[in-house]
Amino acid sequence: MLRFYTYEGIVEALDGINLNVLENETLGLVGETGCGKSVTSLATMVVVIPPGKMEKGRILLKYRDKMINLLKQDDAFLRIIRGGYLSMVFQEPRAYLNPVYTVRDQIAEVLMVHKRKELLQTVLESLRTGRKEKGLTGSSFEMKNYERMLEKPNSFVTKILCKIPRSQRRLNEEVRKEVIRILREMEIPDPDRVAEMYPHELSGGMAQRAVIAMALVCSPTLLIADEPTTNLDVTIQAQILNLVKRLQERSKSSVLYVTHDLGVVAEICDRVAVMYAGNVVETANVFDLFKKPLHPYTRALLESIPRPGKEFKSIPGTVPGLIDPPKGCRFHDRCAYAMEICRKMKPPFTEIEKKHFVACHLYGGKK
Amino acid sequence: MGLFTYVVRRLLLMIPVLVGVSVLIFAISMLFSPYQRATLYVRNPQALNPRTISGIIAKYNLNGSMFSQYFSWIGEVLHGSLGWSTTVRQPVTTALLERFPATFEIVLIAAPVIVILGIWLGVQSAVHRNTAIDHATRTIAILGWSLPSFWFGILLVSFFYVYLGWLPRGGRLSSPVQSFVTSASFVRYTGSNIIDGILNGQLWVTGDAILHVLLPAIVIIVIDIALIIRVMRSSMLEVLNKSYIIAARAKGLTQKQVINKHARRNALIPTITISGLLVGGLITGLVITETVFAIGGLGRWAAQAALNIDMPAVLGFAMFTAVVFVISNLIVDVLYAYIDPRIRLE
Amino acid sequence: MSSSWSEFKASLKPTVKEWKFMLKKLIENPLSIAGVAILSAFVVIAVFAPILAPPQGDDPFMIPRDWRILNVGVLEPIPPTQDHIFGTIENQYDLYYGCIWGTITAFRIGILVVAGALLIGLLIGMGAGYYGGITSEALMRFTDIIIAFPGLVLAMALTIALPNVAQVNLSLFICVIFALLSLTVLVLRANPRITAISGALFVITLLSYLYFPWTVNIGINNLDKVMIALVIIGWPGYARVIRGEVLRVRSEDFIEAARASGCSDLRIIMKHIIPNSVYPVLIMASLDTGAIVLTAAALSFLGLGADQGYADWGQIINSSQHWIGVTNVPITEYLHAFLIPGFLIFMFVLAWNLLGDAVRDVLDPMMRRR
Repeated sequence: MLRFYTYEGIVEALDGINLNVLENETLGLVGETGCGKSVTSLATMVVVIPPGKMEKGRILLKYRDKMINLLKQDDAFLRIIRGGYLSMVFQEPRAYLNPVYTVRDQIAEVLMVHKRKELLQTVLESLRTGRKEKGLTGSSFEMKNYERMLEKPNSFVTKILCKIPRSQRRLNEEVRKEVIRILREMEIPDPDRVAEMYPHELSGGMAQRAVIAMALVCSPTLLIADEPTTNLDVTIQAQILNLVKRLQERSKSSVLYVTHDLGVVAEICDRVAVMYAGNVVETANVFDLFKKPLHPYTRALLESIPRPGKEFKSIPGTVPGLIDPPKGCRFHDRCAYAMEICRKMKPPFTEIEKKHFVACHLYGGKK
Repeated sequence: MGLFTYVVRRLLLMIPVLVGVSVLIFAISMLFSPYQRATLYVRNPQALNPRTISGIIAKYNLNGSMFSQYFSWIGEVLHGSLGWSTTVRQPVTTALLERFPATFEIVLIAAPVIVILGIWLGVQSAVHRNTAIDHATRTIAILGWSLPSFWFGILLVSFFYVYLGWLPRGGRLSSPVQSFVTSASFVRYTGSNIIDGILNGQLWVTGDAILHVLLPAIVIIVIDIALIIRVMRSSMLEVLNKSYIIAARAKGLTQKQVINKHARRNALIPTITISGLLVGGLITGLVITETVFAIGGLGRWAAQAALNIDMPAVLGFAMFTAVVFVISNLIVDVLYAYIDPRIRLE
Repeated sequence: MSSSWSEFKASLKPTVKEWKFMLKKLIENPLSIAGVAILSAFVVIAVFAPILAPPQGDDPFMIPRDWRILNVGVLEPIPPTQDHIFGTIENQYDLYYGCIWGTITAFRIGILVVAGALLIGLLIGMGAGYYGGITSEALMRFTDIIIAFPGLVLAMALTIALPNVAQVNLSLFICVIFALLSLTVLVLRANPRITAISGALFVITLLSYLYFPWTVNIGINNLDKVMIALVIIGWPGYARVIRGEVLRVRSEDFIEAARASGCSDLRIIMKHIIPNSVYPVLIMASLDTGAIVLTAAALSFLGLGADQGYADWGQIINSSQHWIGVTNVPITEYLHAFLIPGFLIFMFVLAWNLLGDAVRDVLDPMMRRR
């Protein structure tokens, strides 16, 4: 349960989310604007902005073969998770990139936070075997510095020594190689040049690829993509979608793809969750959802997709305000099949068929 | 477009402004009678008699057209002569050069404090919005901004000198130090007591000089820091609402890293634009504090000159400060372009 | 003419509503409450000055002196006594009187200078913004040059340069004003009736100049010089801000629409551009007043302002400054002479700054809402 405490009242943003993202799958999260999709994605990373507060609930993540509740962890641990195990891609890429730093700086930042030890070890090894890298032999001072960074990362002296550029040359070079590598994986042409560019110099598609690169550089378990293609041209959209799908399959990680576009969901998702007004109302395999939608809202959504020749159909009414949400099922005042019980009680989220969950009283008794 | 082309462009744009400045100074000088204007061309005291003055008036055509007068005057200026200052009985340029180190000393202490402390306070104020720190900082800022500098200066003098006796009344050095400094055993490298003391290895000179500079610097700091705090705070508040701050947190950075690395740099952008004004505030403050604390720098000379209607001195000082102001604005613009890459494209 | 006037009034209605909203928010703001409170206290003092400190002599702004003490040869400031509630300053001027009438001086300086700079800046800025082109660029370069000087420095130079007496040909002055007016009205393609009337006025004044020249000698005392100097260095700031705003509003779509529906230029300026560009100027004016008073006080302190004996806070401090630090005298002896007037300056400027900050806090989000 996630609430926002505002001047106008308490906004019950999320109340009843059951999301389950399995390994090696792309889960789509569909819903209209304002249903709480973005809030959900931010909440998953426990990056909720005040005045929002997470009141009840659990966020479970598989970390080293154990399931841990993210809500019960301290900030230091959460920082390891953010960017390293869970990462996020946002809607308007250029707004989410810091305008005063180059692409390379920003991707390097993520690397240095999460993969510092591995990078240091790689660099030390190459220094010890005496390999030359681009003509930089690396002095013993540098080596000692790296060793110190490994052993005593938090000491004051280490921090000061890190500020000296000369002592970081090999490390920076290694980082730069990683950055170029990930940019190339994103199918960005000429990654050397792009890495040195500033966000305002990039086109929308390029910026989005850079942001995805930033999110994936540490090989996270779960990538949360919050409407990443909504602001892009349709052709670029297709490219990015394919890219995301390919990357997910290749790395066998998972993607939570948040969107309002059912077409996108049909393209790349393995399973789908439908959200309405802060609740997840239906979850199913993508084929099952499109062939046999169970929840009235899902049905209405699918019907409202404009098709040539068919009459334009929309869902009557508007999304309820969340300051004083309707009791019971939040869809009941717009539902064609509403019953008396819908007004009073919130339907539980139950498995109706194999791996097909619905929260609706229409199917309540059937299990 | 790189940084270099940007700098060159701004340098070129500076030239018409400087020309305009000289024209304005010249226009003001034209408000004086030809006799007074003749002192602009005087290079040594022997010339200050009626015969030579009429000679000057004839030579430089001071009763003639404005154009010719302007070019005669500019000729003099470009030769390095800004006239004769009756207040200190020196050529204006000499007076400027001699008194510059004393003024520079105060700036040396005051400016870094204003910038560093101001930025830090602004950031803290924004990050801890609406808490005690924020309210305290804003109160101090607005109180400082409203203080009359001369009143505050005299107040400090009466407290720290008359009442407590901790700090000196004014001047640059106490008398024993002064006699040491003018003796042969002290080598003058820069003219600034603080720096020369270090260079000579006589740190007690530096210490004494700093004690004398302390109160004037405090006055300037308290008054001018408000500007930096205010701008830094409001720009920081704006930046903290931006999307890339959320993105930075989502990358796993600590709050401190997010503020120091991401937010602050962006918030500095409007602050840098404003800091050009800070130089103006410093110069204004220097004129007053040097008068209150009787420090033999540029400001005090300008104040005395104004009182004596010593036109070459006042105008020379005005021109000097304008040039300093314009150059510092240029530096500020370059800094701005260095920090904000978007501006280099224009 | 009448229809356009009532139309103009009607067009002001939404503006009036916004102003009411603004006033309401202003009243709720704690900063502004403090500022207004202090300022009202000063206003009361200024209004009731003749009662609080009855003038003794021709010019109420000349502080009365205590000749009895002077004749004994005592020149230094005397701490508060029964005769002199605040004590006296150098040469036995009554401090209380000086402070009370100094309030009026302070208001005079602040309001007149800001009003003058605002008006000139408004005219020039609007002209530059609306007409653009070379004149606009030239004007802006001119403002750049003035802004290239730190304020106090240029004010010092101007103050000593301004003459003591100016000979002004009033009839020529009035004639020129009407000439400009008719020219402007002509260019703005306003209502032909307005054009005709202003043209007629111009001809009348021209005739009076030719046949009845009217010159006056205006004496400019030092305080006036300070005010003139401050107006000269003040107007470029306003001109720039107004020009920026006019440029912004000019490119808005509703101006195109107004022109397409046949509005004359004058109409456009009065009805659309002015109401929309006025807010930043208001903010600037309220924040500026404090700074102006401080600069004027600084100039007086340096000795460039009013002469000794004039009721001006800065001048009083100028007289008192060398009495601090006199040896062998307890600190309380001369403290009052500068503490009290300085404190008054501080409070006065603080009040204006508080008010200005409050105005900015209220108007900024309103401007952003657009």
